[in-house]
Amino acid sequence: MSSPLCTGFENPLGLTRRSFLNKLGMGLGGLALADLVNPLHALDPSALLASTHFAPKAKRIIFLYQSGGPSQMDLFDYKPRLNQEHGKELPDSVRQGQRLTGMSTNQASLPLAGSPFTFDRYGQSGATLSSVLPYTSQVADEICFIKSMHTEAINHGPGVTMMQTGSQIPGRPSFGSWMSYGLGSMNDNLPSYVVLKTKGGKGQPLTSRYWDAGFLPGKHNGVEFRADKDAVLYLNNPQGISRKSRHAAIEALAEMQEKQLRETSDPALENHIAQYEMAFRMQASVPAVTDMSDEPESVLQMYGDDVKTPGTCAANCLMARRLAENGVRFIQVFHQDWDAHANLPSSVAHQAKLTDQPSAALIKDLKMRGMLDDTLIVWGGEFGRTNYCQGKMTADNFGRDHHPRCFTMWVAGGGVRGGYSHGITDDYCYNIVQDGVHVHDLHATLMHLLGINHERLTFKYQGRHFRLTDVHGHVVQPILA
Amino acid sequence: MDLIPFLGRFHVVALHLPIGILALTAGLEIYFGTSRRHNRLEFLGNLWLVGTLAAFVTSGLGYLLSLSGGYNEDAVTLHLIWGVATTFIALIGWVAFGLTDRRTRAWTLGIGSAQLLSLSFAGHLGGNLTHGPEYLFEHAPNPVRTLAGFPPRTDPRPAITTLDDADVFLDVVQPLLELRCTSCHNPSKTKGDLLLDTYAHIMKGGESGPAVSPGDLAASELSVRINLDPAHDDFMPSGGKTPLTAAQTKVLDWWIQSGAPASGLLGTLSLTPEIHTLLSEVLHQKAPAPEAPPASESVPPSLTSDTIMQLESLGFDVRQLSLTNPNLVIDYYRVDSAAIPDAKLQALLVARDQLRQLNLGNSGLTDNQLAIVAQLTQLTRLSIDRNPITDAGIARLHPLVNLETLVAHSTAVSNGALDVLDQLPALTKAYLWGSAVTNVDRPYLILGPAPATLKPPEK
Repeated sequence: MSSPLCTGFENPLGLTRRSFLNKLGMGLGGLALADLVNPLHALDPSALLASTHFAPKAKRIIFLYQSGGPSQMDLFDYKPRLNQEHGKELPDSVRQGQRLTGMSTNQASLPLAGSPFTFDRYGQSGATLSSVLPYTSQVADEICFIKSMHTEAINHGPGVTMMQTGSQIPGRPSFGSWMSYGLGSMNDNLPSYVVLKTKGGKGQPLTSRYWDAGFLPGKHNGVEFRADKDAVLYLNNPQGISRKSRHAAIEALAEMQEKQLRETSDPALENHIAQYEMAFRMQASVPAVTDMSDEPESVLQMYGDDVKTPGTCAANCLMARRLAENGVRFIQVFHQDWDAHANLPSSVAHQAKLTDQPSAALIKDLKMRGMLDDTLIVWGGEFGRTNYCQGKMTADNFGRDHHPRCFTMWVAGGGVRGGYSHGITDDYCYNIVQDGVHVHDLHATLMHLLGINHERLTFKYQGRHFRLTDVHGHVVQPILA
Repeated sequence: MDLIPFLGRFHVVALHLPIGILALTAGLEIYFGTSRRHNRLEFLGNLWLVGTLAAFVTSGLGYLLSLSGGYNEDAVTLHLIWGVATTFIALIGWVAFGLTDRRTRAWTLGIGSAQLLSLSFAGHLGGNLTHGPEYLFEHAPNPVRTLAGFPPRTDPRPAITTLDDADVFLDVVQPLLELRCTSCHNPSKTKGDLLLDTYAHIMKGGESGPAVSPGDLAASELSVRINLDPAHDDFMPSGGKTPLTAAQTKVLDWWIQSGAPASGLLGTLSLTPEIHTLLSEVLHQKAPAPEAPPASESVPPSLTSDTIMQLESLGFDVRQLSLTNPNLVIDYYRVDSAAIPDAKLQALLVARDQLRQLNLGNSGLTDNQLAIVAQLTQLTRLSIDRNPITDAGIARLHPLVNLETLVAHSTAVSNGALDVLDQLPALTKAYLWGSAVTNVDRPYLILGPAPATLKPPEK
């Protein structure tokens, strides 16, 4: 037997000296039994967990990722005090010496900026929402607003990485990959983690490392579906290659790789085989699922006029529903450009216009299909925005910098307490007063709703059992229905 | 897999062999090592090997038995350590006295007595696991019990005949605590540093503060914990153990609120009629017989993994509801445009006792095939949306008495089906958007948002 490759992964075939002694010491006969202990393990080779730890409330997640950091006090978290003290200096007692970003730390003055939008109460629950969210306000009773989200990251890269992977440092598996690894796929013809991006998004780039599987097997990578002739890049056969011939080639390759696998036990090979076969099946399944011509006009209307333009947030939200309907476990719809450092009044209103109707339509659409019972929708970005103006403040224009100490996200659907607002921020929308929810806590709670104990889904790499929530995370009980 | 518990239980049969063999072998080895009258039997070396093998097999079976659970984990670990130690010492014995010849006085005495010692410990710990630590000394005279670290035997309190003669602590509170609390809060376990075995210990409290603060429920951790939502992390009894009944909880609260008296006959206390009823309920059924769960909640046997794999190979995504709940959730996503064949639906019938949620959306399912689906009478949720289903198909669903949710949007179902749905006793939601059903008054009917709400609200 050749020595295991120095990759940091456990050697699946050979035994290390330590694991050998461990097994021998912990229980005689443990050696032969390791595979017998959990006979269900073999059931779904794509999933680690034969069954969830407890009965799940939701089967799948649609994460509407609002990249750039939506402004909480202009959308959800109504703070009249900021309007009353508009233009006054941010009190030191509120800032409490917090370090600011390099973009506003050298400003001579940090004037408070009230929201330019009006707020009203909506639904039976009386949720407070900004006038730029007319559609979301119609479904306020389905939504649980978490107004006390917080994170450590103060810039986009670490912030998105934190929300996506539970760590600010790149390299850990993404949330979607963890779920794919833990729960496996429902439909063998589609990847269990699919990513959609609003086309032509500007601002901070969204790179594929945000949906990477990290040290988990590569088949759990998020697969990006593009709004293009080829929804998935390099999926279709080149000119002149028939499907039959491609199939024969993949089979021959798999045969050789399996032979090599028996000799080297390299886990990457197993992945290779799975990936090639998945790609072949996707050649047929992807065009079918992405063809929206069978959607009735009334449904298209719900999502708004944009829905007919491929790659818009509206089209992607509708696509997300189609993927959910076809058994994709984790769907992430990225929308960029919430990063309103300047021209906030027009910029926030514009982004809200692009996302408000489709987000609300997705809730309604899932609800009338009975899918809101077992689908989780998550809406939010990596952090919030400052209550003070970044740059020059004029009568009708200003900007806001990054703010990690409090921001708002919302969740709706399977097992979530709709029409409820969790957590309270102070009158300046700067610090959390009550019931803070860290990104780790959000991850733990969402996993709980999927039936997973976040402390028990682990992967051993470089000698350590890693988790999405690392050593943190508490399930936020009050937001559970 | 039943093989593990099947083999595991032979541990309690096999264990007598190594105990007998090794006790005899070690005893003889010590005897020959110290006696000048007899020469050592040559065969003793082989006996060490036989004993080692017997111990090895017994340990293995014991490990299998521990896998089926049901024992105190700490006690099992301790027993396992001594069991493995016994095997190792036997192995050393064989190497030293069978394979090689190291029969010096120190070796014989050392190995021999170590063997006898570890055998006794392992055996005793195992006995405690099976019979409970009380068993051995249950009928011992009181001085012996005290010597062994047990409290002197007390006569059980006579059964209560009338409520008035019951002592508030000894007959009401203490039995409740012993029923549900002291299995963890006792001197040998002391979870959370809290003992609930005597009045003094209860009043002393644990690491979260006083368990009982007389007259003040909010300050009494015991009351707070038993009144939490059972899903809460801090709920007691924790770990999914049987919780107190509502009446038992209320009686404990009443006791605390009345100042947590250490004694006193109920007849001498002023009792409201409500408390009187609760007390008699609690006193007369300290361990209420579990109510027969309703059909949809009863726990069926698990399907074997072979059966589940067979269903998976047919293209079904089969999920067990949870590690402890064998009920199943099955989704079907078709591979190509071919409609689901009858044979696949027939295959689902093996799971008819377990299958609770079935998703056959967009599978090409037909009216006639719903006759097969209707045999899955444990279903609580059925999705048959985006299929060529008509009222004739829905009419076949009448056996689904447990069905709570029917998803049949985007089908050809019309108002005619509602008569059938009216007859489904458990039905609370029927998603029929995109069908021919019109907006009629049915509590379960869900047809999607009215067209008016598709426009932004007028300001």
